[in-house]
Amino acid sequence: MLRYIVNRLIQTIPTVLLVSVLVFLMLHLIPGDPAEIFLGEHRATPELLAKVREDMGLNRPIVEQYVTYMVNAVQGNLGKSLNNRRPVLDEILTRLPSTLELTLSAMLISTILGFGLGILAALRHNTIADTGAMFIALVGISMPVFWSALILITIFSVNLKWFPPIGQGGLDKLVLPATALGLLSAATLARLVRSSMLEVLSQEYVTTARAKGLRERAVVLRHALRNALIPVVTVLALQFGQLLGGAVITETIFSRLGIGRMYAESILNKDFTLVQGTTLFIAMTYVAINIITDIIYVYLDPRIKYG
Amino acid sequence: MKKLTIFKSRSLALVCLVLAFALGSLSTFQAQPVAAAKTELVYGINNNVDTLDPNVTTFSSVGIIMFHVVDPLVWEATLGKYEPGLATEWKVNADATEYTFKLRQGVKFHDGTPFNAAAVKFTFDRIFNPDTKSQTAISLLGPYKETTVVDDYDIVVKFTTPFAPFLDSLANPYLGIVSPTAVQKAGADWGVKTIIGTGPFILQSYTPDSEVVLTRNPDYKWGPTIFNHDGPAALEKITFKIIQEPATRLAALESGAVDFIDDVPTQDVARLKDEKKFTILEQPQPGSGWSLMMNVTNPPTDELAVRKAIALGSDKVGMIKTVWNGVGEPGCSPLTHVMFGFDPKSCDYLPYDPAQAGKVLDDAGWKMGTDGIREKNGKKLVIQHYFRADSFPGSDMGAFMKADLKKIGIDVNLNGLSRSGYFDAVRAGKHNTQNWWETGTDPDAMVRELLHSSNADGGTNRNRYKSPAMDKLIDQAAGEPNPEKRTALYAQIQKLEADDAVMVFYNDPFLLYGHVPELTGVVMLGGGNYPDFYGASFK
Repeated sequence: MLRYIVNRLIQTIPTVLLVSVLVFLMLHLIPGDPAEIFLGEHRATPELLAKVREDMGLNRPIVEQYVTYMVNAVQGNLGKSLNNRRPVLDEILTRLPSTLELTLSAMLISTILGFGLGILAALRHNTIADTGAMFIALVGISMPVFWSALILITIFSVNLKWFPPIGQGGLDKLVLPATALGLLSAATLARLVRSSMLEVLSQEYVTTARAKGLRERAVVLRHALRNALIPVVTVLALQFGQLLGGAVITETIFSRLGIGRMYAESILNKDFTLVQGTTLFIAMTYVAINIITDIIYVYLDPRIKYG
Repeated sequence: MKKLTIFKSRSLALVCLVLAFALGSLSTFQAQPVAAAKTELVYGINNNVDTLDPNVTTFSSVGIIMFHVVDPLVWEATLGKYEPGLATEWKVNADATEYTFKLRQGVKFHDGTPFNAAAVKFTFDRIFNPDTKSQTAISLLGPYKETTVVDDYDIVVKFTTPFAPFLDSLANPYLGIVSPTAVQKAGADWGVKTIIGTGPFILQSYTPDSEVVLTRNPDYKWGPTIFNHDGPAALEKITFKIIQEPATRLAALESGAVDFIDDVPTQDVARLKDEKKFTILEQPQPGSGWSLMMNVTNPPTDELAVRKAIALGSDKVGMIKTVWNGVGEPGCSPLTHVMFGFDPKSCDYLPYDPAQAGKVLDDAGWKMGTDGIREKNGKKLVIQHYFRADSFPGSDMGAFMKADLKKIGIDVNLNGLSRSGYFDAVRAGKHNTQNWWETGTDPDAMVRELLHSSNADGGTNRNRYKSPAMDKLIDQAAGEPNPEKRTALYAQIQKLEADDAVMVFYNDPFLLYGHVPELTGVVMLGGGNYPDFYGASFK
């Protein structure tokens, strides 16, 4: 197992390198001059532009810029934001807790709702409960995050005044953004849990379990759900990525201080160093999640073995 | 039936959990009293902060915040009217190259450093130093040469060329005076954790992307008369919360999370005014409104008749209604209505008159074709309009303009581009027309960037308009220290612009602010750009 994990870690190196090259190239190939953006439309005189490009190191050959960057990155130095001159790693780390708080609670909400609705629909297959649950899921999938976020704000902040629409720190400020973000993946999850459960429930070993006289609770939770979980776990891992993406929108709308909002702004500002650093960071997060998912498989399904 | 029991207990647990979650948060939220004997103001501000250093920033949001922390040498509540600030008296020499100031005595910075001539010289010299990387402030200093300290409370500021806009520059937060000792002591923390001025509020904390907190300066007793307030501010604390999403910012006001917001979304203005729950301020914006530049070097806009017809045939009221939900007033000149130097007569020069527009074109030989597009010598009257398709209101203005000018027989070809493609095209002069908007408080910057020949070759004068008479008037006005004479020069500039039909002025937009009705005493500085809360309090 340990050997497997080490192997997986080594395999991630090309992935991360590839990501860094791609991001580096993309940002340099799309039109628009960061020096000009830094100065603003009205102040960008040719002399000032030349000076800012020099300061930002934008005049050096692109390969040299990349190599310098990677050498520093390996040593934990992701450079400084072109916009506010703060170290990129500090920028990411100060915002990390807020984004984690948001995505994990969204994940919690989506898991509770998704599993709840999915199991309900599967157990009461072809009843009104099933149709109802799947209708809710359909609505959930069809609602864009920004829209459900604004609707939640209108209902719960402006009209009912239950939760504040902005800020962070404290559960009250987390409820709306986490719900808005969680709804989307809850819907996907509910559909998946339903179909996966339906398949498993029709398996012979479930019938056998029931025939043995096991309590329904044990049949559903121990025999059915655990087997139904394998495809669901894969999706959960992917959902985490989706949630990080959704965090961009949620954090912007709810004015939260997170990586998502910082990422979006840095792209708009063409803050090369910040975009690169954040992209690398997110890529690493994905890789880590994938490894964790693989390990969870082993726990869930003893048939899967890693050498 | 056994099948269902498991689900019942599960779902019950789920409901309980969600309820507990909701109720728990509910109590925390309501535990904070929303309105009780308020001396704390929360401002939902639309833009982020690049640096807190007013002498370096490019962001007007920083100007709004820092105008509470630093004081200017002179105040300007009405554009063109100056009141003593940290300077009590001033004199300008005949060609506006030397400004002599007498400074206020007994003023202290928040760190205890006394305010004096050395602090003013330090601030200006620091802005002028390229290493400071000052953006807005350095442009406000214009042709700065040096500051001479005469004695502790007398200074002379000198310029290499005449610079009449200097008093207006001084009345901006960006030339606010900072404590020399504090700048040196703070080092890299300056602008991030520390800003020390002489203002009515002290910087308490700054959380990047989130909020800036100011607390009252108990020693403040040099406030100007424009605020109708003496001594320390009535408010104890101001929190500026950065909320960039317009709908959320408004929701924050409506839910009571903030007391004041800027940049109220135009589509909500009518509803908010109807509901009367909040005070909505429509403050005419200083600078230059939304307009159309016409390239005088490319056919067919090289023809005066065509430009005149476009100006006469543009339905400004209709455009304001369609594009800006009716927020704003029709523009008349390169200067908006609130600007010092704005000439009300300019509204009569090229008024909306489609019939007259048609006549001008007929007289110039542009005859109506069978397809409703005019033509002359077998050539259709088509103009190439360039705009940024990636940001408001470029596309909306273009679409309206196309329909509008079709009525007088002009075909507008819409070239919507991304930011960089757009700039490449208009800087190279490929366009017939393109839009402009600018904020600022002194007329010189506005007319210079739009009409001076020095900006005509790929610069901001994308009219590519070059007129020796215009250049002379602009330079003369920039060096005229006498306000009446300067106003007369700007009147001539606005007349000449209309005679040559260089531009079309669509909308002088409003700055939109909203606040809770209990808040009083807010004073708008910088022609409405900077709401100031020194004299503000809650009823």
